[in-house]
Amino acid sequence: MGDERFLIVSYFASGLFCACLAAAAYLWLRRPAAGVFKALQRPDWERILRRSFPTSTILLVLAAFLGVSYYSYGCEDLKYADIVSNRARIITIIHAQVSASLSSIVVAVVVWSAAILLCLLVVRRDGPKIPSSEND
Amino acid sequence: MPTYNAAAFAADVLLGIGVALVVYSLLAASLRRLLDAIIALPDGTAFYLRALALILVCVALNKVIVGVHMKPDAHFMEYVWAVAGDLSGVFNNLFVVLLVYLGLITVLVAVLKPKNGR
Repeated sequence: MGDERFLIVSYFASGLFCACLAAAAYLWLRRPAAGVFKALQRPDWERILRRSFPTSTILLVLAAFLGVSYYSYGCEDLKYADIVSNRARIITIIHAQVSASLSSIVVAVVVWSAAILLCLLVVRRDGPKIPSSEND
Repeated sequence: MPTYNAAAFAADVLLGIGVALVVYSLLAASLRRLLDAIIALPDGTAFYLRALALILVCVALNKVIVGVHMKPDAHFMEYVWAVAGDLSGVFNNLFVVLLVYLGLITVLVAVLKPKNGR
């Protein structure tokens, strides 16, 4: 495989792998999160949350992946030919891309844990409907 | 030597994941009981337990995934130091992430008081 082809294939394979990591994280949490969203008993809000969860997770992971630049990672004054010819550096950058993606999964999960906490608070506040004819 | 780099990388991954799983197993049972009492919604408990497992594994892999890149003439102890350096990063990250997660659980316990008052 030529150097440039190796760079192209490795870049897109790494991007696909990072997207798969994000999808795996989403699938791991999807069922319990959907259960909590459903307990809100507000169909529109449930739909918004259910769709935002995978979207935000995958976008954040891809943002982290795309944020690792071949130029900015250690050597700003590299030329394209230097990048293409140095396979060891390309592999190091792929590792950095996967590492950044894993970090962003942690961030996404922590943020969604906080969101789930708010959902649970709403579920608890709304609670099971108690007939209020005596009080009102 | 590339083979030694691969062996050091494998040791890195195994130790990192192993430590993450040990931390998870230490916390999981008590955390499940606490969350069951607080949340009273099985899916909520499942979400937080799965989130913890995912966070711990991601944090462990995050540090070790960069691999071990020693020069071919490196000695055995230099590989050991490289793995030790990676594990130090894993432990640091696990500490920070546990702090954040337990802070979140503390907030959860504070705002969702157990229904039975315990």
